[in-house]
Amino acid sequence: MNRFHFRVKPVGLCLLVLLFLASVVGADSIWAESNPLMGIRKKAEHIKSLHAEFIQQKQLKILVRPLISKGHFVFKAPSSIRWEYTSPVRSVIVLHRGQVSRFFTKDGLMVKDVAADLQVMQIVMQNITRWLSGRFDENPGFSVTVKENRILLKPSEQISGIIKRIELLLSKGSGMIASITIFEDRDNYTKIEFKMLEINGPIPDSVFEEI
Amino acid sequence: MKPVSYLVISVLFILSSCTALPTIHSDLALKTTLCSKPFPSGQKQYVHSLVVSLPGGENSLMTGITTVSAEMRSVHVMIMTPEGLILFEGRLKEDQIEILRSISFFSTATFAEGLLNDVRLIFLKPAAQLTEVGRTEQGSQVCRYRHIDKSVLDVVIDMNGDWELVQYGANSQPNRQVIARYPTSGVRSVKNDTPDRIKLIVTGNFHYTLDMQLIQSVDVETKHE
Repeated sequence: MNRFHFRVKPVGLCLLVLLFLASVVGADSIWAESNPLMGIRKKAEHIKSLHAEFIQQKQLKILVRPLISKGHFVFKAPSSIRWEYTSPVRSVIVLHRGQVSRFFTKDGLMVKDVAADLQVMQIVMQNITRWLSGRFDENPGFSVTVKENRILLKPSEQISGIIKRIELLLSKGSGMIASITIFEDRDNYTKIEFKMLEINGPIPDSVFEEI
Repeated sequence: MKPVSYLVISVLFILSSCTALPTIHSDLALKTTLCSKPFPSGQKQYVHSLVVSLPGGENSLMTGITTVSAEMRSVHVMIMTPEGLILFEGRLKEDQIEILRSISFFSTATFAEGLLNDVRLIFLKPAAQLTEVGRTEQGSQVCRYRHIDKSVLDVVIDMNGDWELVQYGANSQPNRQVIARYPTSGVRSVKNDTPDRIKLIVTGNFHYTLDMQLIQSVDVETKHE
């Protein structure tokens, strides 16, 4: 074995984060807009914080039984994020004050993951800013299509070998995020369903400083 | 030098190399069937959280999916991030390695070979000759397998059912150790006779530790846990 470098891992995670943020800002009546993406951008201006629980289901051709993970997601403007898995194994990625760190439980203690890659983190931060503003169409990494309550994102060739497409499903009634599904290929995908979404609730900085 | 001298030197060399292996105490009452206990029969699938600990105290978390077929002597392995991004998928059947998909560092043949050989060590019964069965100094049953390449694998079954594998190189020095532990509380189910924690310790120039915590275990044929 050799030293580990996970350039793609933070990207994969942050895609989830970014997509989630992007779909959250699409809440309410974006479907009334003639240009839904413009509606999302308008709504994004009002998001100061949010919190949600999530259930992640990993479906793989190789898996006899889907792999279920649970956790919660916290965002605070302008750019603090905590994406935490509580089961089956506790792990946390935090983006705060321009720094990205990942931690997980080892022998009862939270330890730092060496997989963190500064270059990728920088890209992540730029994307978060862009997506938080609802600017889907400004990311050359994805082409965006809106079909009713679905936002479809197709990645550029750069990551198309890893992710084929991403589907954001918003509730037709409320416009709130219902799920994100990331298709790696025909047989393998990750579906994340959100619940208990709370927007603009009070979130102290310590949420991003204390692991 | 006389032929007798060669013989004496050869015997001394053999003896000195053998002394590095732990002594096995004979016990005729022991059954060889217990030697297979650590290795799954049939076709099983395991999902583990994997903590890789590298020199210098660095750690990384991943998720591993392993499908093992005892009859086919094959393993199918997928490594992904906790978030579900697939980093590596490969198969090993007998000695044939096949990389199905991989990214970045995981694309190297060295990584694939090392990973799949580690998985084979942990989950497949050794394709080697069982030469000795006895007890360790501590009273655990030990089954010693000798490979054609002179390497040795000791399968050690503790009194409480936990087990260990110790692999020795041709120089009789240990280079890999697998420690399996079952839950310490509760009644162990016969159907779920899978250790909840397996630790692989690799020594040598590039030493590392792989700590595997069981997330789910499924019988592939019946799809029942």
